[in-house]
Amino acid sequence: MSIVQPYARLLSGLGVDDADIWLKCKDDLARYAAVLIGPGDAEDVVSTVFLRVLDRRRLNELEDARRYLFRAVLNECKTRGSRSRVALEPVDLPAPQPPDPQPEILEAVLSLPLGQRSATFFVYWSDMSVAEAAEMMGVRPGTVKRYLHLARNKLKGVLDDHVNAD
Amino acid sequence: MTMSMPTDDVAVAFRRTYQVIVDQTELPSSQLPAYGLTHRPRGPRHGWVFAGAALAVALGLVGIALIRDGVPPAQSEVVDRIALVEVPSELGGQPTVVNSSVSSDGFDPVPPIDMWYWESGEEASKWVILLEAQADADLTTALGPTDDGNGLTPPTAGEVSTLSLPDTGWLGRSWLDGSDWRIAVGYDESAVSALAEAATTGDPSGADMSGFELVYEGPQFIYPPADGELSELFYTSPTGGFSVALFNGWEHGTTAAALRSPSAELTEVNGREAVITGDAIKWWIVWQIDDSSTALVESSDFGPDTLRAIAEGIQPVSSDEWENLAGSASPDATINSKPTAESFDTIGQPTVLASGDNWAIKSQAVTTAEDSAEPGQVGLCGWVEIEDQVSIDFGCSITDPGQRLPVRVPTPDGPVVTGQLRIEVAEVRFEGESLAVPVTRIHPDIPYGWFAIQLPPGSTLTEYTFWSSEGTQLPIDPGTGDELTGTVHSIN
Repeated sequence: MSIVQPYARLLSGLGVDDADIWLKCKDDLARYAAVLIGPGDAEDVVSTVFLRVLDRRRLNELEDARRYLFRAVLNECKTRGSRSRVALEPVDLPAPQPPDPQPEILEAVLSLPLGQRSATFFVYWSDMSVAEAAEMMGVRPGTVKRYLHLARNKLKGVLDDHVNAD
Repeated sequence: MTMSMPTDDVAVAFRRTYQVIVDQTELPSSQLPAYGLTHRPRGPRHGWVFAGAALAVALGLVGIALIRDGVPPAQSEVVDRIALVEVPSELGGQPTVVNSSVSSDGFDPVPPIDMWYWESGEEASKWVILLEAQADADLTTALGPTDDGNGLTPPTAGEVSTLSLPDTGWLGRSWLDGSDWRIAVGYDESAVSALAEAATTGDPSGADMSGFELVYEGPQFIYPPADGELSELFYTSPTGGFSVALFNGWEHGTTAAALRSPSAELTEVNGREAVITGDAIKWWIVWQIDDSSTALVESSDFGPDTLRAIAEGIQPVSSDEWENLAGSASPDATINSKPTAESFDTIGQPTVLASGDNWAIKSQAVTTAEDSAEPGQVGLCGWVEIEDQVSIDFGCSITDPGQRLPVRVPTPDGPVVTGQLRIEVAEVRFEGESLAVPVTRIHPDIPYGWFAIQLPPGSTLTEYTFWSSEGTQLPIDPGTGDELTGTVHSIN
């Protein structure tokens, strides 16, 4: 299915301000959704969130629309099942990219609960501070620290095993 | 020998993994609309996933502590699961786990309820909350179903109705503002009234709230929130049952919230500040087990001293240990192995409302014990027994005895419809049938009684009307104002 059509439909109902906000956020939202629920469902999540948000309010009425949309994406992913697994296709990364993560590392990351995956995405991929990640997720910094602690422990165990096996 | 990975490698592993995922994401089109239309696209309304509103209410009020900042916990203090590790002698022996649950998906993608929260006083001793939703159903989600006795009835436009929240000590007003429902609740009558009065003339958020500080404005997250997880273990012991819960990453159940309960008292659990409180039915004790997790012990069998002893014996356990406990729960043993009535001082013997082949529907008058938070209250309980086991427990109405909606109970002999009424009713008519409905008065001080009617074979009874002995239809129960024409609720 073309990905253009649903977004064209979404955008056709927007005021200019809302469209501007949307266009500034949508790529980041899609990446975030991909990490949480998988590349295959990311766009569907983002468009669902967009429709749902606009069902209640205009984006330019929100104090921080970007933050609001990120939270809505997280919650839509939760609604679809926090246990859902990210499905990945084999990928060829152009050189000189680092090698793909080992399967057990990928498995460990993708098995993390959504809250931990969300916190690690913001802090380790988006380079946000703990406070910024907390803002985006709508939780306290202490909660983000807790998520990071749990996620790091999980992955550290896998990495240790991997090093020992080598 | 185990080699520890440098900390940075963990971050690199996350980054690399997410890069692989992101690289596979097909990004959407970036074209701008040529022109904006006047309508807004409308998606399907979301469905709430909600459980445990009553517990949230018991803890104070949902959502309050969202806005509180605190000191981030040290990593070594993180607690994921708790369990009773040191068994107090008051339990009379080793308790066993009879049930368990974990919940982490109770939060709506776009919260349909907006909340304003004000408080005043150094200890935030007074607070007022304004809730706004597009449908009364959403607010019902926040405050509990109407048959919980909260008096939540949708007002008509321009009308302000009064809420009854008898078990909490709150007072409230509800009104319709355009297409939005609004509810104001709190401990301060003048502030609640100010909000309601402003609502009839304009924007309620512009009400005179002098003396109060607006400390939160935004979406209200309900049980549990996005970042929270609730894990519970239900125990039974030789002397009674209790539950142990951990609100992990969830701050709604803070001691500050519990402290707002009218009968709350400050106490201590293993050196940490705790609040113990209760109502006519149960006692509970709540404390911060670390800076982002709250522990709760609750029981309708034990008083505050035993609850304190249980709380002192609760310690963090590993997830594996918790899973082992949860897995040890007997599927045959339930927390309802005895009726709620036995949590109180019973009056006389149970009254059999209806019975048949190895089944009976029973009711019993009870009084709250002297050591309860609300001693000396008389109430009425009901339950269904099949083969001498409690099959369905209707619980007890104590501080706010009110009509219970008729429910259809499956029995080995077919369905029985049972419920509570304040008035003597001659008959109930449904589907062309007419049945006499004797209302059994259980206690002279209780102005209502139970009825139970065995339906004829093949009957389904979904809609009903009640008729008086004079042959007139009874549209309204004069005792409660509840309509006597309605729908029977099926138990299963």
